[in-house]
This record gives sequence, C-alpha cells and structure tokens, in this order.
Amino acid sequence: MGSLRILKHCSSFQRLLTCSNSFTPTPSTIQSRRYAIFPDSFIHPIFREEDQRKLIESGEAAKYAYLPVKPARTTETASVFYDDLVDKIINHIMRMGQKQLARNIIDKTIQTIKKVQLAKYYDTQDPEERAKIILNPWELLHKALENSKPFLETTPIKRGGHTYQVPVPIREKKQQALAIKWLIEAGKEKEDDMRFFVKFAYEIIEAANGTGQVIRRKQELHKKCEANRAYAHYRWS
Amino acid sequence: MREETRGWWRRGDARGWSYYDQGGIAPKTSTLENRVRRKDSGVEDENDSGEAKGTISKAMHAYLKRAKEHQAFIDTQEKEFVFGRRHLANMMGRDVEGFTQKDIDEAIRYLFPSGLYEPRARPMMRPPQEVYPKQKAAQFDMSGRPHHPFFYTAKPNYYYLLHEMVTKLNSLNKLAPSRSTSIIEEEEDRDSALSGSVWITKDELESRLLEKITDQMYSEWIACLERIAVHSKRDKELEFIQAYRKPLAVQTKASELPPITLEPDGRKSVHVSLCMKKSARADVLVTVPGTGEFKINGKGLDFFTLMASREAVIAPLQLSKWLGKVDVEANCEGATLAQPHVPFAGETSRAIAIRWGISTALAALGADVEKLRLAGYLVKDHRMRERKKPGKESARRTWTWKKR
Repeated sequence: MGSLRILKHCSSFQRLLTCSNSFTPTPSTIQSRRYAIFPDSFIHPIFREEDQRKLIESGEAAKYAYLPVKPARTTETASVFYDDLVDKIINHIMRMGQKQLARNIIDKTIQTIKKVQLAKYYDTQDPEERAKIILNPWELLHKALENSKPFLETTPIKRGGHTYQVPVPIREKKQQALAIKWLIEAGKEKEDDMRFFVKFAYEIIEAANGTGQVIRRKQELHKKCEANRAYAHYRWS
Repeated sequence: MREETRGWWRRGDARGWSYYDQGGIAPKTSTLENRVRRKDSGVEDENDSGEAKGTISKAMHAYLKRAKEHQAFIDTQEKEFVFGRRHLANMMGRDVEGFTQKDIDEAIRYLFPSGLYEPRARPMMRPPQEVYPKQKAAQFDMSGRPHHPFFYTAKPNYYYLLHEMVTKLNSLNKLAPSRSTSIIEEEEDRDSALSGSVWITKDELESRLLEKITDQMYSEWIACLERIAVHSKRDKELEFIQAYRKPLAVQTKASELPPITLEPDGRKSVHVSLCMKKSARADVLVTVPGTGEFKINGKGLDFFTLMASREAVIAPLQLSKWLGKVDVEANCEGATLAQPHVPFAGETSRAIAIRWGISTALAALGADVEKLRLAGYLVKDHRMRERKKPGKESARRTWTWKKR
C-alpha cells in the first residue's frame, strides 16, 4: 500500500500546490468580479423579440449559438410594456429595494403625463397646434431624457498648487444617469401637498418641451464649462 | 520523491521528439541518441554498450545517471502498485487477476471515503506511469552538443514554433505584398473560417510543446497566429491554423429536455417536475393544444399579485408566440421537504421557477429552443442569497466606523 500513500500525499496535493495544467488560470479565464456566479464568458440575455430578429437578419445569430447565456432577470420579458429606459428609471427611484413601490410611482407618472397631455390636447382648437402635442407618454419620456442629457461637465484638476475646474466630455452612460438623477431631484423639490409623481410628470413634460428646471441646470453646467474653456488643456497637459 | 517531479528535463511525455518530426528543420538524430533513449524496460546501461567513458560529455553523463535513477524509482513504484492492487483485491474479496483499474477506483472510494470537493485531492491509486510525468529524452549528443537548433533559447519548442509561424507569414506576404491587400478587412469574412472554435488555451499549448511558457509568451503566440488568420492568403495555411483551434460546443442541448407524454384525450403534454429558484420549488405541466388557460395553485394567472411576476410567467409563451395555444398547470411552494424550516419563498422567485418550467416544456414540445435560450429562459438561475458574515452588518455592509 506504499504506492497508495505516496499518491495520496504526494502527487495529488503537490500537483494542486504547484498549479499544474488546467489549474493555472489563463488570461481569458481570470474573472474580474470575484463573487459572480456566472463568469464573464456568459452573455447578457437577448430577450426582446426585435433584438433577436435583428440578430438573425444580420447573420450574427450563428455566432451566438456557442455562447452561454445568463438567466434573464424578472423584469426582462418579451412584454410590449417593457422599456429599457423605464426599467432604469425604476431602479433610480427605488429605495431600500422597494421595487413594487417604484413601479407604482412610474405607472402613476405615466398616467399623469397622459392626463395632462390629453387636457392640453382638448384645450387647443387649432388642428396644427394639436398635431404638435405628443400624446404618447413613453415617447415624451424618451424625448425629455434626450433633452436633459448634458455633454460636458467640469472636473477638479490640480496644477501648480491651484485646483482648476476643467471641462471634460461625458460618456453616454453617465449622461443618461445624470439626466435621470436631475429629473428625479427636480421631482422631489415640491410643495408638501403635492405628490412626487405629479411633480415628476410635470418636470418630464417641461423637459420634453425644452424648458424647466432640469434644462436650466444642464445649460448652467454647459455655461460653466464654457467659462472654464481656457483650462481645457489641463486634461492632457 | 517530490524531487522526482521537478526540473524541466522531467516534463514531457512519450511524444518527446514528435515535434522535430513535423518541423521543417529536422535535427540530426545521432545513433548515440538512440542508444541513450529510454526503452520500455529501462535505461540501457552505457557501460554495456562498450562506449568509452572518456568521450561522454559531463552533461550526458549526468543525464544517464538521472535517467537510471528515475527508472529505478518507477520500478519500485510499479512493484508497490502491483502489491497494493493484490491487497486491495483480497480485501474486497475479488479475483486478483481480473482486478481492473475501475475496480481499484471503486475499492478506494469504498475504503477511503473522502468529502473533499476537488476530485483530484481525494485519495487515488493509479499506475505510476500515469501519475509521474514522463521524462524528456536527452536533448544533446554524447559530446554535449545540443540536437535542437534553438536549444540555447531555453524554450526550444516554443521559439521553433514562432519561427515556423513567421516563416509562413513571410511566405504569405510574398504572395500579397502590400498591407492593404494582405489583410482581410471585413469582419464577417475573417470569422468565416474560424467561427465555432477558439484558440487552444495556454495549458494545452504547454502540454503540446512540453514546455512551461509565460502569459506574455502565450499572448505573443496568439497575436502571431491571428496575423496569419486575418491574412488574405490564409487558405494556404488553414490546416496549420486549425491545428491550434478547439471547437466550441453548441449551447442548445435538445437531449436534456424532458419527454413528451400522450394524454388520453389525444393531446401532448410535458411535465417538468423540479423547477427551482432560491427556496421556491414548482412543478409545471404544459399541454398542447390548449386554450391559453393558466392554473397556478388552483388559481389563474392572478395567483400572482405583482404585474412583474405575471409578465415573467407568460414571457416564454410570448417570445415563442405560443400564448393562447397551450394550457399551463403549475404548483409552487416555498421549500422542499428537506428544508421544513424554510417555509417562505417570495412571489418573484416562484414566478421565475415557473418561467423556467414553462420554457423547458415549450422547448421539449417543439418551440424554438435557440430563441428561448438566447432570451435566458432556459438557464437555471442558481444564485442564492449571500450569507451574513461575522463582523459585518450584512453580507457585505460594514458598520459605521469611527477612529475615536
């Protein structure tokens, strides 16, 4: 049984310790997130029907046949009511994991927008003016977000003992995050007897029209960047 | 005994010289080397071969000594292995002659039960030839001159491979001299020959070359291969490239789906017995053709109070356009019988468990499996709640800390 003992204590453990063959992590298999259950090689699910159709039409679907997929989240459905942006806003509104509350708030906001726009629609008599009013609340929401996105911001950079506010461009993802954040903050600045979803709905409508608090905030930031344009070269020098 | 497995010259296998046989430059194989190379029975004693000791280089002398020691070691191990196998067979009351490796594994599992997670850390008994790495044959002749032209690079096989690849690339470049014509610009055309496979990993390359290489060396090798792979004249070297590609498995596996049963009324149905998400457990019965009826724990779709849960349950039906064409019957509960102390499972978890059951059943009944898989409905979501850690407020959150 000597052989057995040696094999038990020497070979298997030693091979574990010396990290031979398949135990050595190769550059492609090292995980960036330590606790993630699904490794980076898993792609995010493509759950929208139109996205899948696009993949098939462009011929990329064949490539995806070899890629493992993560499970879809609860909200990621093929439902006609699913909207990427709305899903994001719900997550921004949510506090302490109360998702259903956040969903209800968004539902009420959408309802309020619809009511306000309909009232506006019936108040105006001129058919040309009427045609300009957007009645689809989701369309309005997307337009408001697009109008609220800032393109530049300032970042403090220290040069020669002074801290300069240097204008820098913002990436797409941060633009959206800032726009959502500002809209929600504007919604929270209200009288005590007003509900959040009402103020939020009005802010969205105003932003979609290119007016309101959020648009002003964006313009102020841009103005600040414009004023500090002389320091712009500190970004790279 | 640990010493035995160390050292570059001990790594390798029986194909120790195979690389030279394929290569463009075939190093001269001396007759002396044949004499030195290890036979199955053991190392030839160079004293018997009548070679004068004075003409053998020190390196060769040392090699012969090591080879002899190694062979002696393997022989004793072999003897012990045969001895141990006989004992095992006797212990298990079996015939010694017919006691195969499979029987040994079973006996070891029975006599030395191990709860260790990693299979390779558990006790095992295998022939020493399998356990101890085989030796590389001598890399030099009797006078100490190396056979391999790249011997002094310390990684001769790796650098020889790189050399070979660059030679190939240069010959391809002669066919398409300008850079604009030599590289395939279109990504689709690039992928056409290589789709469905990936480059072999670093470990696999190491085992082919019989040499340890660094991550840097591996990425350089990949970069060089990719330059050949995007070359417009790559068809000439396609065989060479494919030798270093490993096919990927297609992810959709129809064989793992549950069977279809024929109901007495002529309808087809699929029963998915164990659908899990967190502590929720469900079983789902999908019948086709149906009228779109839902029966979840005796109620309709309104068993779920949240809209999100309802949407999640019908999502696979919507995606595969089978909504209204099948009947779904599902039962869900909080915990398994094995965990009576875990009574609760959230509504969303139940919905996701049922969603998985419905999509699996749909896939078995002939819906587009690839569509459902891409949407992430056919993967079991085995994430669990992360446990609370001592010294922390929850799993990750720490208490507010003030120095004073």
